[in-house]
Amino acid sequence: MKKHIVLAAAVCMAALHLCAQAPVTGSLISDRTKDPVRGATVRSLATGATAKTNGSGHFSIKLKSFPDSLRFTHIGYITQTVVIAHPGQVVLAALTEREEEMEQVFVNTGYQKLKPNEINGSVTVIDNKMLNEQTGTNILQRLKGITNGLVFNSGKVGAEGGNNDISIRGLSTINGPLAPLIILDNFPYEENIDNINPNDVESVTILKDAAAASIWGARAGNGVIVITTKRGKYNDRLRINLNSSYLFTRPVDLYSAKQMPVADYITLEQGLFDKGYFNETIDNTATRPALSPLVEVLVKRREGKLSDAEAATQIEALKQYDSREQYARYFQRTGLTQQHSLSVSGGSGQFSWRLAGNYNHVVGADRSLFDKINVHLDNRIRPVKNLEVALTAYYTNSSSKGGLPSFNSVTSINRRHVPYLRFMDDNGQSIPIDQYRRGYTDTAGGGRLQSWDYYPLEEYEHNNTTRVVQDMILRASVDYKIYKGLSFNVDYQYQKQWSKSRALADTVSFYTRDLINRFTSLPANPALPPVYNVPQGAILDLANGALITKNLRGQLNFSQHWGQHSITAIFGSEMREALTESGDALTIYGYQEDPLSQVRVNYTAAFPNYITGSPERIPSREGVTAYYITRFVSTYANGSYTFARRYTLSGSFRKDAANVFGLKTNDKWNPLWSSGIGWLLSGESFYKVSALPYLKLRVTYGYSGNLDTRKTPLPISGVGNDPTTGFMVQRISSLNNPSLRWEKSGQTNFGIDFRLEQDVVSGSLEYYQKKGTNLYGPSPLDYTTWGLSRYIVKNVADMKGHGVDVSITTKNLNGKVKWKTIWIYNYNTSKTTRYYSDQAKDFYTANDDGNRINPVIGRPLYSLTAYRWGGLDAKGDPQGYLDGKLSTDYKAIYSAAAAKGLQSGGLKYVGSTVPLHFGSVTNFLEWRQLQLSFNLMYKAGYYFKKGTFTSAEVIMGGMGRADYALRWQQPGDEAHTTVPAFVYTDYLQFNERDGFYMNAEPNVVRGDHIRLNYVNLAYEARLKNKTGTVLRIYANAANLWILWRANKYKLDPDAPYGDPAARQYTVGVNVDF
Amino acid sequence: MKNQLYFFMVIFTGSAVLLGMTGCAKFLDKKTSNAIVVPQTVADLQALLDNAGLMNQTKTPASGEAAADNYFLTADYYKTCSPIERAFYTWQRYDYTFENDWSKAYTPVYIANYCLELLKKQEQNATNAARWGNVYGSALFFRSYYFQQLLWVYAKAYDEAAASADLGIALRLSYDFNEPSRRASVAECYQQVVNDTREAAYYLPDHPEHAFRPSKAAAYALLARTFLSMRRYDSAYKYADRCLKIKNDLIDFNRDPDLGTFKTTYPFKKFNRETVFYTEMMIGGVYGLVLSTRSKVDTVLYDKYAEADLRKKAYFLKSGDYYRFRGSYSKASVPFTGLATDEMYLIRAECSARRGVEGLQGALTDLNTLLAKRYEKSGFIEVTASTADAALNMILEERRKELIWRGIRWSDIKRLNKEGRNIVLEKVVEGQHYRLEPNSSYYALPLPTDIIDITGMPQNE
Repeated sequence: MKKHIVLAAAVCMAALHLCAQAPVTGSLISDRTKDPVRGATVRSLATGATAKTNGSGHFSIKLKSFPDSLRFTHIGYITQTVVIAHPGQVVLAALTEREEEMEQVFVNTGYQKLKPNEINGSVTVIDNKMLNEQTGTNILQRLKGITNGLVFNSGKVGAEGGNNDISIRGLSTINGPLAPLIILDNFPYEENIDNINPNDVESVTILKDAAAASIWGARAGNGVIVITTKRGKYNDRLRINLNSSYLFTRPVDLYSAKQMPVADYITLEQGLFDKGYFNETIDNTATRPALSPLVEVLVKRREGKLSDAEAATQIEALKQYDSREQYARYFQRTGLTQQHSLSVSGGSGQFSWRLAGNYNHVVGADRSLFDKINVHLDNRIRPVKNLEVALTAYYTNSSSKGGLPSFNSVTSINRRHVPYLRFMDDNGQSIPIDQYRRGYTDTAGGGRLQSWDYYPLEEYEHNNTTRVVQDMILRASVDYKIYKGLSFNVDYQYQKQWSKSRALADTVSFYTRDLINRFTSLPANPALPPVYNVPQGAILDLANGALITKNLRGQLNFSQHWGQHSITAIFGSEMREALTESGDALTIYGYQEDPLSQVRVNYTAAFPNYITGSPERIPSREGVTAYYITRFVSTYANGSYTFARRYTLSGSFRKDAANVFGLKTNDKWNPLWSSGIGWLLSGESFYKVSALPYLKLRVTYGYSGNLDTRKTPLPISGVGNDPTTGFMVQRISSLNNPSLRWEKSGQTNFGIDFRLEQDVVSGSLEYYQKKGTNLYGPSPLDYTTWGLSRYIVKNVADMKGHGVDVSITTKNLNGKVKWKTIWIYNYNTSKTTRYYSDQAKDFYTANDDGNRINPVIGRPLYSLTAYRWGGLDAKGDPQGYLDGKLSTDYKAIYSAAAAKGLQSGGLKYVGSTVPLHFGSVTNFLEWRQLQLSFNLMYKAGYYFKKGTFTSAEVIMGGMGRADYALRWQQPGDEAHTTVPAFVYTDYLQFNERDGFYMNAEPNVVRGDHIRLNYVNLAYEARLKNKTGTVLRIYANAANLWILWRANKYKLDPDAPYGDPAARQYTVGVNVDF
Repeated sequence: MKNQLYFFMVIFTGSAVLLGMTGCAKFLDKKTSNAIVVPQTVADLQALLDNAGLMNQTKTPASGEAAADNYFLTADYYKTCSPIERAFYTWQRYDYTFENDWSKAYTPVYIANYCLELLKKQEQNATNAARWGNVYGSALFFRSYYFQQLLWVYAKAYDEAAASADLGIALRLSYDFNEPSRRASVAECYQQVVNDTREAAYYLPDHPEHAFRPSKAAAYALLARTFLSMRRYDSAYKYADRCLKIKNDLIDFNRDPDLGTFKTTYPFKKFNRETVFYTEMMIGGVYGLVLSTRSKVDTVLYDKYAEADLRKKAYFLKSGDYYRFRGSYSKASVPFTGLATDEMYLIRAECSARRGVEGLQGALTDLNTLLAKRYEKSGFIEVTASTADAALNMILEERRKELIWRGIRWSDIKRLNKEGRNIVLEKVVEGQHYRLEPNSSYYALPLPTDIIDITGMPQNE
């Protein structure tokens, strides 16, 4: 590193002749910023006398003997020693900032950029290098496994069904929104996150506690993720960066969902046929449902159309096929994602700029297509002193096209999973999958209808949806330095996302043929032509929508240092409007592109369905949909005061108002605040621990909010038209509740930051408590008053959570081989403390899969309970406990459990279904030009419900699971298996028996596991040309293996029912000119 | 420099204050969507009542029909039924919760109450009198209609002597959900229905713009129905007669524009000429039992239709070894449960016959008017009866045959058993014999268990 020491010893000749006792004076400035260095210690090496620099960096010290040496020490700068030759000497020293502080990324809260040590709140910053550890196209996915305090949940949903994919420090609400707020540069980003090109991102900051997040107010209750994009630098040479990568995605492993052997399934299905299970379907002449190939054979045999021997041969043939093998062979490919990006940047004294372009091309494992182009332009100008104008444009254009149908959809015939299908015959001809009864479609209409054959391999070529999304962000900001530390800035951002979808089903597609057939009426006289109520020709569905947001912010910034004091503060207000236009849609029948033609159809009349005869209307998406608009107005202030660089007091205040419908303006305002204190212990004079040169303690407390604009105090009705009468109609869809208030969540955070000598070990430890009070929760409703719901939402729920975030970096080797490890450990738990609902009982978490928030007082928000297990009895029936005794009266066990919960003795509380402990270990190894890193992720302290074979599932048409083989088959089996005997629907408590077993102890397993998340290998060379071009070639493998798991069934706890995250391999090159 | 600073400070705080005080209130008053509104005006309230999805379609109780004797289940179908359905099918006591007949039928009651209360705040003047009156009359009618439907299911048969002691339903007359529900007596409930419907009739137009909307004819029909189930036959006669004076159309089963060929699965036109007011049976709860595509028509009942009776073809389809019902005026599987002229003819005929000799001729005329439209022209011979009792028996049998799957039979069984007709319901399921005795307390079906828990209202015995 460049050691730039400027020593300007101005010798004042006059001073030389003055009194020998004249003090030595001088001033210290920062080498980089030329700002005065305040509060530095000046120490005489001869006498030990000390002095401090004042607010303008000046010092004065009396020395006794000459020559002496003065040592300047300051926490933020490298220590410097200067020789003093004589009294009265004037010293001007420029101190070099500590390297690590310079390298440190600024924390961007979206309102201000701060150094990490200026913040009392809890933040995690993921810098560019860490973001490039993973290679996916989604910026948020790149945070996986490397972000302290952030966890990706698999399959978890909120109480009302909303997704809960990412959570920061667990939950702070029960029924409110669960997603963290995402900020792109300075403003919320509500569009599709896939629009953002990860190569444009400089860093990501996670605001975790209330003090950090509360600046974002009413929507920050779930934490905030701030994405900061790259920009050009002033006084910088021309820089060009090129990055190109190829990412290969393995298709889904269909065998990961363990399934019973095909031969067993066929035997079982035959048994069902013999019992008459399919008779209703076979005799159904109303809707003509399709039958599985086996049942077709069996029907023919029963009707005498096939001999026993012929049928046996055909059944044997079916046993040879496996839908999974067929699907893998004909439908699945390795997906390929290409990412190419190029950026150019530079800057002069008055102007800085960066222009970046990106192109993505994705061919999915299912042959779906996705193309995306990003253009990012960032300009900054300083036209006059103290004024900076920034103009930014970000444009994204993506288009996607659907691929082949999913495994589940093509293997399902009349809603039954068929495990022995073929999709291609021996001659390479596609085989149709029946959608209606084959015998009916072969003859229906006497040749006057179109074929009813559905070819899953070809349908997508004839019936596909293309979706184009464009996103444009335009931002202008003006920053003016008014006076010394005071500046004022105004930011405006306009963003618009358009989406257009075009679904075209041509005349070859099953969709079109089926619809035309169903809406055809054939006159009794065959000489007359058929009446096509849906005309011949393709069917085109068009839809578009838009999302427009506008933001305006004005902010005063103040930063002033004098003597021991330092103040940083902002005050501002902002307005935001987000307008969602679901847009309009159009369906065109009889469509032909060239020459263009289309046919008008009658949407108002009902025509008899050709198959069922019941009157139906021609489907149409035609119409204009309503707009939704949310508006926010906020004022906020945030400030911190530091004394002597050791004590920092911080606080924030924010008031938000939104256009919640039906609220009086005064009730719309919701105040939130936070405060914190930080203490740099290692800065104290009494602090003598030399092994731990940096130690800071901080405590914060504050409130952040949760707002759901759908919840309103007035009976609100939706408006529409009755399809029958055409009258304008209104529908009150939720019960009014004038007492409803916004949710608030309080959080306390205790943190310690530390650094050992030479940074061998550094890191932070944090403990936090969360408390959500007056949360939205259902309160049982006497639905005599209002029949559409059994509950009414009130502010009746409370919850509590606490946790620990630990992040430690160790430098293990620092010689020829460099080895660094980042250890992340997180603990989080939350529980419901107040809730009113019939469903808030352990009984309900026993009958659920644990993937939905199910508030039970005293339990984690995601929890599981299981039926106590008494083993199988001598008949192969599962046994539970009723009144302390073994029982197979499942209905009675349910009733007791529903009424008395754990007290009934039939239930056992299991635990959380989200990991209490989670984190990662990332190792970085460097040897010469080779870099290797790998990331291990772990989750522990939780449970999941595994799938199992049940009679009901397979009879009702689900997939028969592999543990069918373990089922009880003869007396004695109960000694070594927990899988009950197969029973038919005539079993007295058929559904209850399976329900009990599925939710009993043997099927609840621990989720703890360690997985190898990714491995990265790179070769980095610095070329010996003028600009020092850096060439980097890298390879990455992700979603690799589970190294250890607590369950013995080899299940991936993040995907226990199959379909785990697909393995990915990337190769790429990055050149920095 | 200092001046500049102050200048900015003043501008900034000034604009912030200005924004907060004035602009912001307007900015925040923007409605969140053009798809929502707080219903207040007369037009809004009419729009609420015009929402057939909540007011007419799939809202009347299913459990009455499901407990009655017009249908049976095959052994195969019974096996696929839920425990609640099985218990219900065999008249066992059972616990059940949301969503059910109770929740479905009380939904229109809330909307009616909302309209009645909001209407008070709307000025009534010369220009809006008709619209105001239509909303007021409609709201009263809808509330009474569903009260009466609930009474048929959840209360005992009306018995003049016991009516003031017998438990009726919760008479909710306000939309405020904080007001507790309590069960009124059967007498109070019927009184409310009768009074409100009479008032509704005053405000409603003779004919509705659409059969989803209440009308004077519908109000009279509802009164006729209500009085019939109260066994106040004179009043029932009066109102059936008034209804028929407004509307007396009948579909001719021989040939009629409102009737398609018998080859179509559902031959009757929806909103046909007989429909006075349109509602449908709810399709949750125990509806699966009477789902007409699955359940079969009682074989004894089926055999009672004469060969020349066109209803035998229009109403039923062969289904396996038995017959299924397909003759709903909904042109779908869901049963039409609304008010129709055929029912009014039968009520007037029954009430005439109950007057004795003086009513005999009138009763036979009404019956023959109806049957002439039901039988093949060639095969129809006018029915005769020498005594009023003989005529009454004939009328009651035709009533059952005509009004099948309309949600009426359960109330008829209750009512007729009060007069000693001794209708015993019997079933044999999986070898077990089940029997429901006349006037059993089970005829007032149990209320939802969760409603009992929340409100503390007494459960039926």
